[in-house]
Amino acid sequence: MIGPRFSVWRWGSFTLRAPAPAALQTAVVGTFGVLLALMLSLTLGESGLSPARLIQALRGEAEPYEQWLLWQSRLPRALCALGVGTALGVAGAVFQSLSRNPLGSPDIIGINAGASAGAVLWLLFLPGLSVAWGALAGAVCVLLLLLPGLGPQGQLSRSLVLMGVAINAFAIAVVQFALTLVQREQAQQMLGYLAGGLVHRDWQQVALIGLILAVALPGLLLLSRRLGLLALGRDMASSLGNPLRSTQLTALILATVLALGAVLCAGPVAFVALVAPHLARRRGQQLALLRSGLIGALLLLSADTLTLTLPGTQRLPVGVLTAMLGGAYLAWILFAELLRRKTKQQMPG
Amino acid sequence: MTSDIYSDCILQGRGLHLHYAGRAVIAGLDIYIPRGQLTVVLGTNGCGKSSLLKILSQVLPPSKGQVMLDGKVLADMGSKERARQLALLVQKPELPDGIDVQELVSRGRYPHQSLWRQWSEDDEYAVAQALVATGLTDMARREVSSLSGGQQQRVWLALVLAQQTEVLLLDEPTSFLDIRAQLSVMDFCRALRLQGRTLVLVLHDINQALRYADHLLLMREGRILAQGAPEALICEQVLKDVFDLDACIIQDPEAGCPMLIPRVDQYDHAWGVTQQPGYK
Ligand SMILES: Nc1ncnc2c1ncn2[C@@H]1O[C@H](COP(=O)(O)OP(=O)(O)OP(=O)(O)O)[C@@H](O)[C@H]1O
Ligand SMILES: [Mg+2]
Repeated sequence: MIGPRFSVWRWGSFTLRAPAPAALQTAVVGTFGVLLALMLSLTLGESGLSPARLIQALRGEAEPYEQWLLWQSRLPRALCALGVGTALGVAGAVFQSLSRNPLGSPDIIGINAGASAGAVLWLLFLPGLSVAWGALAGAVCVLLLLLPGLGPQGQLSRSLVLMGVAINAFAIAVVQFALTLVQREQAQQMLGYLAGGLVHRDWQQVALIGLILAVALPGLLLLSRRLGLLALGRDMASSLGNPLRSTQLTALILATVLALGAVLCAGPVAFVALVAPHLARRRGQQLALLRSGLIGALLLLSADTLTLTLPGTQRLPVGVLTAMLGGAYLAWILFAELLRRKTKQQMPG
Repeated sequence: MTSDIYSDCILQGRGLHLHYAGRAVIAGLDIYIPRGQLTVVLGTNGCGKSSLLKILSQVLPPSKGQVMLDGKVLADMGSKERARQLALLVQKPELPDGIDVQELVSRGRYPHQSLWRQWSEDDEYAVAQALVATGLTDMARREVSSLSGGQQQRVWLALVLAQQTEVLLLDEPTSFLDIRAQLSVMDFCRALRLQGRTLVLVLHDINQALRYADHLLLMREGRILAQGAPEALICEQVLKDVFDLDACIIQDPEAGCPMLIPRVDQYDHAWGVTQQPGYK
């Protein structure tokens, strides 16, 4: 006996169907997880507030300095981590399901690197304007380069990942090249941007990632039934009346917007988009998109809390830590799976 | 086309061409599928049968030519509207992991659903009916990947059945099945046809085709060589033209239709296997 149990609600000809038990479980676990991670993030670390002070500050009864610390520094930073993590988790899940490849996440197929390259070139040639435009231009260029992978009938396949890897390498090369062209101070500024991180985030960034999530998430949720059909193969999906090309194009654009939002708010954060969908799928396909977003949020916030608490890591960009932790974790999962398969093969029958 | 079987065609294609990477796979083909009949497409591997079914269902738009479904141009129909009238079971559908029988069959209801009609009573009824018709009710909660190949084939049939279309295109629905299961699928298709539905099947077993088909389409290299009622169509020369096969034709002692018996000694040098030294 396995998973999907759906609940159906009917009002006349209006009917809704949702995997209610799974949704409830996700909502409960998610709420608790997020609250716990937020608590930890706000209370731990050098500038952390003790729980009592935290409550005071939340009520607006604390000292001005603590007030400022919570409302202008720690809270926006934590919310930014949650938002960016959600965006990365969802974008990763979409890219992986479109490319049918567990490696098809935005950081591997060049969206992040493209945004970085765009940002760096922008700093180089148009230093007066906000780098966000450069990142946007870079991400759009990568998206356009990936589009031929859609093909005339909208077959999006493994070739997408291969092309992405090539684009990724090219974009990284562009970044390296740009770094050799500039003066020392400028290079410092660029490197700071490229390493990413959540230090000095303010409400502006929270608003940006919030806005992007508010646009892209509902769109992707509306598409999720169509994306689910793609798992039957593109021929079956299209014979069942799923307009493949528009489904894939819309999903690709929305996921790129999410990845871009993440880059704009926190720089290129590695591995969250790769690992979160992987973890989400371990408990079945249902609500994989939402769960992947949730796991991404929890991962990034926890990693950020870690950089605040571990000795000597205060100035470590969170992206470096996620790369280390995520890489190790993924390797461990794959290794464990390999071991399991080996033992299975050795069992008689 | 003067014979009256073509006077009422539910599906027809004119001047169809299909190119894969510049190579013509379907080359100028006219096709007529009579309404309410069971049509079987026969031909060698790679002659374009699957491609033809994909063109007929607009899964692959033809490079040239036009398909009409019940008087309407297929390319101009909405994709869901089309999928409510015509179903295609592809040769190798992909199985999503961790899906159970009922859930997979439910996917066949997609063209009848919308954002605010996610699961109507019709959907419920159609899925239940499809499960009953294919004898899968007891397995409704089993994971599809845990079923045998033949059982999985039944699940895919149930999926297109739940789609409740007037036209069903089935690409090799009997491959991988044992002889009993093959015959039960064929009987099942005949029953659907008796309900008035139109079926187009790709088969490789010529004798089954001769027994069950109302209408045969013989393909070779992207063209239709001959079409018509099995009794009128099948002769030794046609078999030679379509399959390069030497066979004699006798009367099926059971059903009375034509039946083919391949002659011996025509595969001596097939793939050079028999000539290999040291193999006894
Ligand atoms: N995606 C594709 N790309 C390129 N060529 C293709 C593709 N699909 C099919 N072909 C070619 O088109 C021709 C017809 O293929 P098709 O699958 O229609 O044959 P078929 O008659 O169904 O064969 P079979 O009996 O083996 O299923 C073959 O020569 C095949 O190599
Ligand atoms: Mg075929």
